[in-house]
Amino acid sequence: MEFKGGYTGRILEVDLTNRRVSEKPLGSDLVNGYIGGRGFTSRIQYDEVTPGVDPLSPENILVFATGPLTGSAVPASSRFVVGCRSPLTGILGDANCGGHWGPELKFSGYDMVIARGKAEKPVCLSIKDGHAEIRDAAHIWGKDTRETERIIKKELGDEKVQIAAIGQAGENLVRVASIMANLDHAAARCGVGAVMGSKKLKAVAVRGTKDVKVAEIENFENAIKDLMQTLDSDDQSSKVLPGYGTTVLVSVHNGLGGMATRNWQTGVFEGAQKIDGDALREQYLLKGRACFDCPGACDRYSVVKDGEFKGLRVGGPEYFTIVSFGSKCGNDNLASILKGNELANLYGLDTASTGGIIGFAMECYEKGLIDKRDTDGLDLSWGNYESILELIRRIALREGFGAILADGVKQAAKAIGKGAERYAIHVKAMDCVTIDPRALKVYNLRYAVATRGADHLRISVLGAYGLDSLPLDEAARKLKYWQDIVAVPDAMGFCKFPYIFFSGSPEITVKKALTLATKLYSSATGIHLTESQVIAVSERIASTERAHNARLGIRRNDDTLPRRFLEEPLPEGPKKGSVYDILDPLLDEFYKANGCDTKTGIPTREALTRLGLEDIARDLEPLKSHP
Amino acid sequence: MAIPELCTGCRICEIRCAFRHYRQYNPSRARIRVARTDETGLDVPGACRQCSKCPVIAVCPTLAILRDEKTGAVVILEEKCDGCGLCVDACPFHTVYIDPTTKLAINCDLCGGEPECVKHCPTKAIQYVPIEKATKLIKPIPAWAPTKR
Repeated sequence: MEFKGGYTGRILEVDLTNRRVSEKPLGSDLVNGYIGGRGFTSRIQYDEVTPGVDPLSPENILVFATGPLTGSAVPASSRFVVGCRSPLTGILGDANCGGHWGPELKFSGYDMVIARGKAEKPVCLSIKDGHAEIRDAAHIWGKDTRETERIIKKELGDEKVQIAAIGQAGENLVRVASIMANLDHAAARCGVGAVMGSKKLKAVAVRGTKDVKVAEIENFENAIKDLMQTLDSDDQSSKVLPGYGTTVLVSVHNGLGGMATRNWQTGVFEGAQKIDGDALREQYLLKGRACFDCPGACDRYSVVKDGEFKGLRVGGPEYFTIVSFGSKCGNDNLASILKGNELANLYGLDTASTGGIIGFAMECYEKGLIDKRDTDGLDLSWGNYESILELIRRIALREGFGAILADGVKQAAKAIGKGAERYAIHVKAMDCVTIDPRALKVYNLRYAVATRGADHLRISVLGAYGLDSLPLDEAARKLKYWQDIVAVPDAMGFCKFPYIFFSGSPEITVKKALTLATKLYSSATGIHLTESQVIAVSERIASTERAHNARLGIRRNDDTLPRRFLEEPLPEGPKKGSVYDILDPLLDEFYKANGCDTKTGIPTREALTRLGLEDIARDLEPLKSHP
Repeated sequence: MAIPELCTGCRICEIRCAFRHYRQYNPSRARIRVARTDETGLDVPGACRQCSKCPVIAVCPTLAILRDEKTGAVVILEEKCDGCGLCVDACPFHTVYIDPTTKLAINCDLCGGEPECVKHCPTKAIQYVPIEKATKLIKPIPAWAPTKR
């Protein structure tokens, strides 16, 4: 298929086992059905990673996919998606990442890189302007992400090269390992770094000097102008986003009584004021930093000028990093949270999952399930930040007790036994990240139904706070509607933050993330879609993902929440006494809204056929006899 | 002039510069470039400073470099440039580049007096002001400055 713009039309295939690279054209079925980004990674996983493939085996694939708008002049068009079967959850996996790597891949002439097999010895991949080469990386293996970047940039003799690399955690197959781009941008979730490590692929360096073509420049420029004016005139995207980034949520969630505190035992953290967005601005924030082409600059850059962590410079923190190494672990020392952020970035760990695991271990310690003999002498009392930092290191290096935690919170609970499962706050083996479902009920069904485990980014609702007062069927339809809106940036390659999270109203969000996005896509590619056609792509992505997981045995009883949320009332705060008591009736309505069978949670034949997914419907036919 | 502490490293200036000159979306053809250093978090926009004693004009063997009388900009004439690169080495601020597409030298030409990068910079980290005002410029307060509570 010839592309007039947006897409480069070329996929780089990397056979690590035989140390060969080749090219193939981007197919029209993928483009028409799935647009790009997460759409591509999800469909390719469905087609190629069949049931039975071990996530850490050479048969798993690792896909780096940009969207058609990645690297274009569309604001915040920085995103790329890494997809592979997740070693953390065993099901569909993907991780979304900003920074400058994705655009650079586009400038180098590729929409996607697909890595297969396993290299005999450590290698890295270097891509420049349509040429790719597999290089030895034995001398970089064992190094952290910063050192890795330094060495590769020096060897390639180019400061402008963009690098996505794993640290020691990915090498050691830690199941919450991330892939780090530009040092502090993470493709974090689902343990994608461990898959890269299992393939002995240390880094992918890209450099490109080509342009991103656009089919209809006038229309494209007009849509960008409209978008920029919308962003400018909205205080959320023009002031709050660069002013706080996601750290604004610390005080918001704590005020709602839903801030994950001491492994989700309560929703109010007494030390919240010491670690919130204002505390960061007053003490450590150097500046807001931006991903490619983003006027928002929500990324934080922090510097510690005195005290125990003097001299620390780190890209971060995000809200969930503060919660993970902070309130979840009962820690109100902000500088130590920044240090944890730095360590996680250097080792290549998902800060969200890592902090979740440490919080879990601390509760096991509090409840007496483990003691210093189990933790190799570490005192895991709440708020002991020295132990938190040491555990980050031990998890990354799989040392002693760290090796148990390195397999994720579900596996760690199994290994500890004695009923530790009760304190493992996860869905489908992925730990929960942001707000307590007991404090905001309807909205947080998203943890239960997300297709990559307890995820908070598959459904994002502006006006989430009003949902709890709606009838459940109407609320479920809204969740489904916003699930479809959220998939648009994931597929097209721009960022959810300026388009969705940071908006003054739901109407502005829809204008940005659907109406203007549709115009931008149509003018960039010359493939004219209507808004309802774009929404159909979103539905196709979600249904393909659900079908993928259904083939792996995921059913309705997996779409659940941790027992703590279902049974233990919130002990304090504005939502004191609340338990998650709407799971079953809300799930019924959510499945109906999504065209899924309410008994099994599997997409129905009718729904799949309506989306043109007859092939998937046929594949799922045998599952009906094994509900 | 550039105010590095306000620069977020978004590279919108690069994108708009290349578009203004070539109607292409390609930052590597930009005449302004942001030096991003992730290890320090510093981002510095770099473009020709239009030095009054420009050492680059004199080294050009094809006499392709001259000063624009209206704007005072040092301008490289594409039709005379042969891409030898002597100017790239001669510029003490490293702000003359070789365009990867044409292989000819490029530098900031101030867009004829209305710099496109200045129009689009979201934090006013790049400004175009008369020289006598430049030293007394009141720097804008960034959105992320400390808050009082």
